[in-house]
Amino acid sequence: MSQRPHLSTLTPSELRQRLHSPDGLRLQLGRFVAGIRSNFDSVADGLQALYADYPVATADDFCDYPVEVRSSGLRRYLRPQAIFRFEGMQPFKPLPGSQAVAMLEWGLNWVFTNHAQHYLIIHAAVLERDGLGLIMAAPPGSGKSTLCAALALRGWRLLSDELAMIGLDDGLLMPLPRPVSLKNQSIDIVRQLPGEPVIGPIAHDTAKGTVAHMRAPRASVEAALTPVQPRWILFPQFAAGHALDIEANGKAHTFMQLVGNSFNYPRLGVNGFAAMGRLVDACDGYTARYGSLDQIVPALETICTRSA
Amino acid sequence: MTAALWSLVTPEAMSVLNWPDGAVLYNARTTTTTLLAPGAGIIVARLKAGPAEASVLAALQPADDDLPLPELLDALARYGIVRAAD
Repeated sequence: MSQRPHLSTLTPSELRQRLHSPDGLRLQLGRFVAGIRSNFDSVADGLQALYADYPVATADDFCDYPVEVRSSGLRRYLRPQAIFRFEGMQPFKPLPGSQAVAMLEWGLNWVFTNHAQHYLIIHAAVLERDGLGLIMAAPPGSGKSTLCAALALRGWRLLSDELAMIGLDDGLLMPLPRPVSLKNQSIDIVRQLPGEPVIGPIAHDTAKGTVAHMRAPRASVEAALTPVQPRWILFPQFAAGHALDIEANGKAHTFMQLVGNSFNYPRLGVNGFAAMGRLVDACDGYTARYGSLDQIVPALETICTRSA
Repeated sequence: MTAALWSLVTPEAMSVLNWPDGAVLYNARTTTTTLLAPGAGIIVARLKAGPAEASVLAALQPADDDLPLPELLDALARYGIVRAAD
């Protein structure tokens, strides 16, 4: 990806110093540089666990997104609260300090979805296989992240667990590989998958229940500057005990479903309409209902080989 | 069937994409996206090129369309997509 040192080369002390410095820790996330500031030791530990393979940018590199997760005042010592800030904005209510790492992840998602407006952004997991992209668009609770983690652990390249970012000019998927967000039972399910998943700190009693993140595979991080041609769009629906059922979707209906899963389609006007149309034209669309990873993973590996 | 000329209400603001399962219409004036039946998409795409008489539009309508053309045009007019010229 670059000759820059990886975060894993920083000592714990160096990492904390950077997180406390005015410029923050400059971390390269895909094509973006985030400047992360925090006075939480747990954030330093979480970054070390989840972002070890990411290049560290220098203070001379332009920082696209300066973000901060910190506690302040006496609350720093008594039941600390985590406060997320971006360019003076505080978009979320404070959370318990034990959720600081999760808050950083959610905050970064918010920053990208609200400020990377040169992309059409869809709430979706995105992976690549043999040079072509699979977009899995679904609302929370549909099993998207668990399936995404399972595919990534089987060697699919992870582009993102949360955000499909489609270039308005070229129609390509821009990678933004970051940790995969896991909730509740999916944490243990993924922990037991082959492929040696690395799971970061666990946050209990969040608004989403128990939350943890799986580290993105190193190969995905190293390929984070290589965009991908989209080829398949899947709307996954997990339901325990459900038999596997995959059906092809028409393009007009795929278009409308993607609009419903997009973060910024309305803001982009006719450019968003054109980009969505080009995306749908380039892809085969499917809806998949399934009851286990053992059903859906082989099916996807067949679909995403056969029709390439 | 009426001989009236039909047109899009705001042709410059409307973009349409057609596929076999339907069409999507974007109206830049209202910033709305609407899913249309395949036959309606074909009619809208034709009117995007300019006004047309109902007889011209009737020739474009797929044989298996659910709605007769007058009802389809009335429906599109109710949604503010087409209008009959005076």
